[in-house]
Amino acid sequence: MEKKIKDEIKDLKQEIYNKKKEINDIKELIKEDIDRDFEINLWELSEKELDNEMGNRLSFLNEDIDPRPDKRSISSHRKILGKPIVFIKRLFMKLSNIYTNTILEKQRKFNEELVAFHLASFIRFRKNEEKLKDIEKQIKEIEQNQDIMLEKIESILDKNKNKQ
Amino acid sequence: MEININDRQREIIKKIINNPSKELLEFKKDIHKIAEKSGIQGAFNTILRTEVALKIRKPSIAIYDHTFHVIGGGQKYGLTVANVLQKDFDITLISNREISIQNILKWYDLDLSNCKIKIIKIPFFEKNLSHIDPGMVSKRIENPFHTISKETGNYDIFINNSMNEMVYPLSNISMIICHFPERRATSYFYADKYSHVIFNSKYTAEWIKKKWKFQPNKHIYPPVDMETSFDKTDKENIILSVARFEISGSKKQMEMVRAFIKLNKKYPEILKNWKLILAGGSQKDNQYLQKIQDFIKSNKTTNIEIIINTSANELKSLYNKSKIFWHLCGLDQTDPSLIEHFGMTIVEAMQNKLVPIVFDGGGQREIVEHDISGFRVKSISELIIYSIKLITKQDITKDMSINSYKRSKLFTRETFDIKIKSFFYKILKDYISI
Repeated sequence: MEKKIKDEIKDLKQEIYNKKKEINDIKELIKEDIDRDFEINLWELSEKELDNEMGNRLSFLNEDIDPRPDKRSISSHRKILGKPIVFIKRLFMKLSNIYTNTILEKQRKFNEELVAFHLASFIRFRKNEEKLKDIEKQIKEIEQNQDIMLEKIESILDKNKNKQ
Repeated sequence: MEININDRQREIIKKIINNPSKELLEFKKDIHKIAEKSGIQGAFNTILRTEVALKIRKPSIAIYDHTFHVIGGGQKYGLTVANVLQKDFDITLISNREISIQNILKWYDLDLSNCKIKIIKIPFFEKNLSHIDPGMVSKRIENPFHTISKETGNYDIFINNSMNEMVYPLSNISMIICHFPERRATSYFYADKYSHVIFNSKYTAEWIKKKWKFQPNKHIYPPVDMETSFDKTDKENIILSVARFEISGSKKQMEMVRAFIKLNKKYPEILKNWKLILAGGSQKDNQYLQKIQDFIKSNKTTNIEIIINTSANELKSLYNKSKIFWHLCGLDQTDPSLIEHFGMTIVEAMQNKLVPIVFDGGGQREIVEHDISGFRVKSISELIIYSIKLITKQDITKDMSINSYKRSKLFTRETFDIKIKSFFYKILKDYISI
């Protein structure tokens, strides 16, 4: 292979690499959407997975208790025009909040109660689960002790038989 | 008809291979066209493949594991792949925390002096130096593992050895080595985007199908190389267990202790010259281990010994002098991830002619053939029955010990090397034959 060709390929590689380095978004790198939504069949989950699922969903609910719009959600990527656009949008939001907040505040309270209720159910479920585990453990110990007792009885019976 | 990137690559590379000096200009134009149509990564991948096809450089492989910095069986799997291929491939090990070639040599007796190491920190997990756990990532945050995804595109082959399905592969050839599918396909799931999915046992494959809804395509058992060079024929009356003392108790050492005490009470005459040795690693202040030690003390049992964090040489000596091997991981367990996915220590024992009695579940079913190379049990009472059988019937134990040793040959380092080499060289052949 000629050195010249090798060098040209090397230069081309460097050029493409430099461009690649500047792109942070994977989707842009391959010009393809990479994220998908997967449905979870809750019936397929193991106990541990269900437990995680309950915890995760509850924390998501908790994060989303307040349905009122946050002014930080309005932003703009435009450098010069951005600021006035954001200002106008935020002003409009402030005005509309006078009317929507009455309804949304009621919704917020409802959400709060609902999350609290779920949390209480979750804790109760956990406590019951612990009780059940304790009972299972006790049964196992009883069974093991029973086996040892039976063996002892058998050996006593054997000794008695031998004496007779 | 739309031509896929792979066919387009072949077409372009073919032209430049046939007449490099004449086609160089055309090649440059094609690369830019690919960049425009399929993205800059597609263009870069085409150059990478061209370099290998024109023999400008060796093919490159990156092996990533977010747990390379801690000792484990899964990590050893990926590092052994590096050890097998380092002569013919340019290998880079990617880790998120500090690792060194010296430590790898010390931990696994693997010489990786021809490999490079690249540490890529993930800012999300560096904030509190927290444990790198993909389970902490949800769609509510940006995927922190895309730092690694971006890096994957700099190599011909990317191997993800880390049970972390959140890394998106950008390389021409990609492989995920699945030791067990810990999570289901939820946010940032890309395991199905890899060109090859390697699995360590049929048990793992079954769960990949159940959890990820696709069939993995390459089965390679982990390499086990614990056979000792000296052959001890007069073994001692020892039942051995080798497993980590997990705080959760998932390796079931407490159950083994109870079972041995029960055996002693039931058959004191037969058991008087026998000993149970539990060997395994443990972290400091292990409550589970303490519980076992207290239990042994309270039962005034003298023929149970616990050996913590033993050296590789001491372990070899234990394997060498013991007769029976117990392994109950998975007993009374409903969570499939807590059942042994393979069972490397069982194979280690079999390589040293111990007769294994193991829990009948998970990967253990693939290692031990019941009543031929050992026994598989579902309960403590079965464990006791088969143990007494082996202790009292020397001829059965002797035959089974030979069968157990023969069976272990399926899982040796040699077998692993052959499988890895044939798999990778076939892939490489396809990659460069245009």
